[in-house]
Amino acid sequence: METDPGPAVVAGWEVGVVEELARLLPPGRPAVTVSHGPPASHRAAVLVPGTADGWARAAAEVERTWGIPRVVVIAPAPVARIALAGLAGPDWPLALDRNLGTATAVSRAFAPGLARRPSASIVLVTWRYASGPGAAHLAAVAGAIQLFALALAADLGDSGITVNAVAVAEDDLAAAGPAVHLLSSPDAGYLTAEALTPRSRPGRRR
Amino acid sequence: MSGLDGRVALVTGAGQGIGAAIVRRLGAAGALVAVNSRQAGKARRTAELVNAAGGKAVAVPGDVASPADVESFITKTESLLGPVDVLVNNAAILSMAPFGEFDTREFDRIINVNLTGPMLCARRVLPAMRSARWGHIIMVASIWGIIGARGATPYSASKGGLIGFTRALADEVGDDGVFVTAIAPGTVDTPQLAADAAFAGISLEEIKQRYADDTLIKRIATADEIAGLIVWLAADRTGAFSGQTLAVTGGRSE
Repeated sequence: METDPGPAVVAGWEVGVVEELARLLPPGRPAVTVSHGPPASHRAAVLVPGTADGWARAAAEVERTWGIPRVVVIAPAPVARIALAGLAGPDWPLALDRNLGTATAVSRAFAPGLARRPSASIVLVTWRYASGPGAAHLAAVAGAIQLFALALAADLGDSGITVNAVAVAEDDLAAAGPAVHLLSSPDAGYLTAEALTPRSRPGRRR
Repeated sequence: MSGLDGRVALVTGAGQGIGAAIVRRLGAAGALVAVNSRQAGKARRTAELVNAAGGKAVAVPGDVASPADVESFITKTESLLGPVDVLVNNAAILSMAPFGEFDTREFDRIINVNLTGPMLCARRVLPAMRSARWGHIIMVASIWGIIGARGATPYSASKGGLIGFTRALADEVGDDGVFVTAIAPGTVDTPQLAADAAFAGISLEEIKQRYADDTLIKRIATADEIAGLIVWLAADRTGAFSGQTLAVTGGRSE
């Protein structure tokens, strides 16, 4: 029985990934998507204004309309595999900005509200580094998000906010579902500063 | 519906602490629970709590480190409740001393209960799980099995071994619909804390405060919240965490 109401928010740079993650949320709690792009299908959605304080304004709109979130899931943005030698000028900063930059902005925008709740959770979904060519900037993004989650957990621990990372393969975003369910559960209040690596195909690793 | 309605769960080391909390949560989730403890009276009392709350539990006392006992209490579980669907390997012992002062027999005893015991129980229940293509084995490890702990060399080794065992066994049986997951709690408010306090030469309240200060969220865990996570894992049929160890520590400060 859920005794701690409040919506679940999925926020991120790329609306397609945001909507896909929103479909994986546990039932029984309003789900709100927040992104830069217009939603394709999700009804409870907030468009982030293209201003410097866009994320803060979006967070304020979520709180005003649906209440302070219980869970904020931060979605990853796709990162193309490009060999380091072939990286064009904007590839590296764009990958970092759309992932780490967005994670930072979303966390900053929602944390003050979350701190006013008895318990709340931030879940940073990111890509799992997999070996193979062209993954240097993907690895940098994934590592940065996971360590950012650990540091944010330390910053927000006193406020009763848990922060965890969930790393999934680039072609297996669905694997984030069980982890988001788990981290949204009232039983997960002692789980913080961890990087979970769920897989949607249990069985042999090799 | 929890996904555990009517499932048979066996919890070892369930006479008190985390094990007893797991039994209560499994019973509340509709599972039929076999309560194992070396002490028959404690197993019976834990089972009575579930039965009094409207669930169903039976006491199956025995020593997990004894192959004969394991055979006996799992056979009893099967005859009273049915084949085991969920095994929670929780039984463990901990004694603390500087490494050089550990008697070899005590070292062996800790390894036998904490590592060999889970192996014996898993080996005994696996054929039925594989045949049913449904099963979940959950190992209660410890954060000390990941980071080690001064004064607890055999315990740390046993829990580290349990984590490796989890990974390897999950790889072997995952294709048969059996999941194997470990959970590594940090400090939990259980009777064990008294031993830690004695080793550190401070009071129980002082050790609780010290452990709480070592976390990011500045408190120690309750047995019930660790139990809640274990029951969540037991009911999860995606197997998303099979082979893995979930560290549940309130944020490690190391």
